[in-house]
Amino acid sequence: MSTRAEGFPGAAPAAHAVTEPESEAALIARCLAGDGESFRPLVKAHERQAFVVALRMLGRRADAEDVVQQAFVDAYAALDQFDGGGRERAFAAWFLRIVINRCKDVLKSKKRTETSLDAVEVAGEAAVFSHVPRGPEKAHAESERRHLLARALVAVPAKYREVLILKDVEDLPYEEIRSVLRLPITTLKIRVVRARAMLRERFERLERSA
Amino acid sequence: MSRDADLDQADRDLRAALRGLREVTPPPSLAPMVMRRIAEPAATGLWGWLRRRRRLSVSPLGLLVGAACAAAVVFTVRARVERRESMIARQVAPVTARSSGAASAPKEAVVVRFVLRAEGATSVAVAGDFNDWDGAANVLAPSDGQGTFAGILRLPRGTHEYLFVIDGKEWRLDPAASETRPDGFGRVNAVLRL
Repeated sequence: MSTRAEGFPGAAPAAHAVTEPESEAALIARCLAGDGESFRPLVKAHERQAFVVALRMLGRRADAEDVVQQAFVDAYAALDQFDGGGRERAFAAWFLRIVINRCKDVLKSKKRTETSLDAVEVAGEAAVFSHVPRGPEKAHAESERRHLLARALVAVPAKYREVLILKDVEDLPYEEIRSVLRLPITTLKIRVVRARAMLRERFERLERSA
Repeated sequence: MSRDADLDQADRDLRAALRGLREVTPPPSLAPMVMRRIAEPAATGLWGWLRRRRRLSVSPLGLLVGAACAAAVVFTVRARVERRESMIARQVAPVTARSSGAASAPKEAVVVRFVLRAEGATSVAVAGDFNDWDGAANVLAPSDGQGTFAGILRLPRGTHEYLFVIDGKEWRLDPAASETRPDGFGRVNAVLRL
């Protein structure tokens, strides 16, 4: 069964659909015209990043899933307020702001600073420290360190954690982080430096107590 | 210099590890759930707020507090039900009584409201040591048309004993009196301390 996205010029299959601002603008225009199905490629294009940000902000898979799902629904409802201005990744920045704000709402309501990461999906082989693990013992040790790192990250105060996630986890440029968080780049850079120091301190403390 | 190099390496290792934290797969159900929800008719206003699903989490302390509140509500409701056929005399703000000249007027009097629920009764009076146990001296008035009778008396401070008189013939103890005392004649009087 063909879909509108397939017929759209330049559109790729849903999993790698949207990379150009024109495509996103066109999909958004279709959504606003009443074609809800045109939102699907936007969801597929942004769900991974949104989920990672939410998971690293909240520390629980279930919470991250709820937040991202609701953020997409909120974004769809507010599409008429979105104005990308033709800027690249404008929708991504706008949507990430929604996700982060929802994460902060959850954190405020729960007032947690440390969470259980038992349900967090451990990263794959790419998530290693500066060397490749050899043998099951080292693989287990690396897995444990990743788990400790994730726990240490959740323990960093939220306003530092968010910028650290966007900069060091998602590797976004400062200009894009500024669009998401609406903070001056100098403030972002200061927060990143402090956040790294906090993370290192918390990670080392967890390693010592492990 | 070597220490700085070590710190730089540690910093690079940390950042490399952080990049690894992005290797997470969102649940496959995420996109289908989003599409299903946006396809639902938009519910706005209070109804939309009521319908919106939320994840509820309660701490053990919250559960205990909630259980305590529920128990308090149940206890209060039960106490009111058990008192349905009677009311206790309540002490209202004390007032200074004026001397009438006819009898010795107390320097300080307390206004007391007597209330009794007596379904089927045509008259209810209060008799006690303050009116020489006269069953016709202080008649209460029907207050709600459903068997409740009430009236206000100014009584001197001190301890008083009293009973209700139903239809001029039945002497009834206030069922909700917190204190009673035998009258020496086989009956028990309610005690009111002002």
